[in-house]
Amino acid sequence: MQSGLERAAVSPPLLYSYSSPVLWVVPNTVMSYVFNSRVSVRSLTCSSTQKQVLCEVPAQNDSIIRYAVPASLIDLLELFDGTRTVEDVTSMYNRAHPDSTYSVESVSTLIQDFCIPKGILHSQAGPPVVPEASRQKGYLYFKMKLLPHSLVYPLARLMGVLFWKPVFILLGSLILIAHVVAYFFLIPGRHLNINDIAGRPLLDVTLITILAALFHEFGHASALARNRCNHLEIGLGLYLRFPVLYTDVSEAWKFAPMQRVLVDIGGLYFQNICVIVLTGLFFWHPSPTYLYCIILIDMSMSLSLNPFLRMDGYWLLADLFGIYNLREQSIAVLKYLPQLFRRNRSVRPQFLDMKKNSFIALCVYTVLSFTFFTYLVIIATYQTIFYLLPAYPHLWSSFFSALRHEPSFSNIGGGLFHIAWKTAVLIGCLQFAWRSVQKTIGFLWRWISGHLSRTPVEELSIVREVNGPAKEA
Amino acid sequence: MPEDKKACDQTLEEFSIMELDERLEFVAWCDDCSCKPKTA
Repeated sequence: MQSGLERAAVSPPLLYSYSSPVLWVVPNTVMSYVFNSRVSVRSLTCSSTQKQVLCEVPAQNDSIIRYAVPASLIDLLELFDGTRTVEDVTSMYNRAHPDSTYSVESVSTLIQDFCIPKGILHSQAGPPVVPEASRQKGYLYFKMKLLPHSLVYPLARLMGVLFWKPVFILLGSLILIAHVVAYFFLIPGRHLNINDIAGRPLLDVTLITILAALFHEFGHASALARNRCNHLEIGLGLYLRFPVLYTDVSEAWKFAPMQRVLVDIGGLYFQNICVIVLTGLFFWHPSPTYLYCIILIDMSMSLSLNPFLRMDGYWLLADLFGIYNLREQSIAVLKYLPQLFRRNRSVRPQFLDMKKNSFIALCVYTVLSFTFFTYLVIIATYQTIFYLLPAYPHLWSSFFSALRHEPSFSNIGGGLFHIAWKTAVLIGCLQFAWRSVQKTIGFLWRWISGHLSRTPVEELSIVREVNGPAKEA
Repeated sequence: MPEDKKACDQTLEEFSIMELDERLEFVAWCDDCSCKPKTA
């Protein structure tokens, strides 16, 4: 909730005349503002041809909202020192930068719509607004914190030794050897079939792969914790149809690109270390359980490398090409396509200011990810309708049957986990379907209402925008 | 979409400002292979 002072700072400035009931509205161009000293500004290395900065704004619940902002704009906003008005600052900036396109009106709109509500500037009359935590739509359907910063950070600092160069080289070589041994000598000839795992081995495999996934998360956390950080937590979530463990590494935005890449690959590096341990365990106690775990861990890692899902491969690709908000920018490319056929185009999208190689990468990514998601929706719909839904009641009946006839710990534990997993997957699929239906209806509604609400004059102006002005007879 | 958010989004687009994504690095511990039909 905003306080009265905060609301006053957000609302357009008004001067109240005590002698008369009439309100005198003072244009905000003559108001003076202050740049919020709690806002942190640092350089952001990215693919843009314009110099960008990372602007970190403190928000409610000890969270931080991060923006990529053109450096020129921050230079302008930092001129607000509490004495200068919008007119002063704009003219001062434009004198120093003759090629500037900022006008008093546009800066004034920016301040009212963004800088004040988001706490970047504030009026002399009161403190800056502390905005609500980011309202960005999360990409996890369900999110639950498992390990807090106070626990993760010290452990992650300790594990940071695994990134020490000699250790990194040694373990890297062992990872390679373990994979060669497992896939060329141990697995062939053993007729392993993942569908055969049941009962106690299923429980063991599940526990070991979950522990490996947790270690994966510590890999990201350790890479981040090598530099000081204030927010590092590990949690559980549901992404598309996958139950996932996550680490919040948002502070990595302030790192140099190669440090961000290290955070991205840190998880895979740690999970690969588990393969070394499991190969060693197999020699000590040759149980196929360890081999199943190696296969499943490698499957999990290959899934993580898929750049179209927001997993390690996505962040790796985004950081290697310096494209922030890769998904958002690829959607912007798709949305921009119809505008290529219009004369009257809206605002120039950011991706047009990218360096050439990043722009090409973004276009290729857009085409491939569109194809991938179309395929994914078809497959997910097919599997949900024909396999998951019909088999779901049977899952419960076989669990209750096992409970009556063989109520062992492994049967109950394995059965419960299996039911929880399938339920989570089913909820994820149904939520995805519900969101898709909502979006389609919303899109159709906006499209139809937009067409119905246009007057004949508006229709004529749209036709003129598209076709150009009618020629005089 | 509320009007104030719409206005804010338009302004951000106009000034080439972008709210950066929350970076959640995550891993699924297993592809849901049990979704596939069981082999005989």
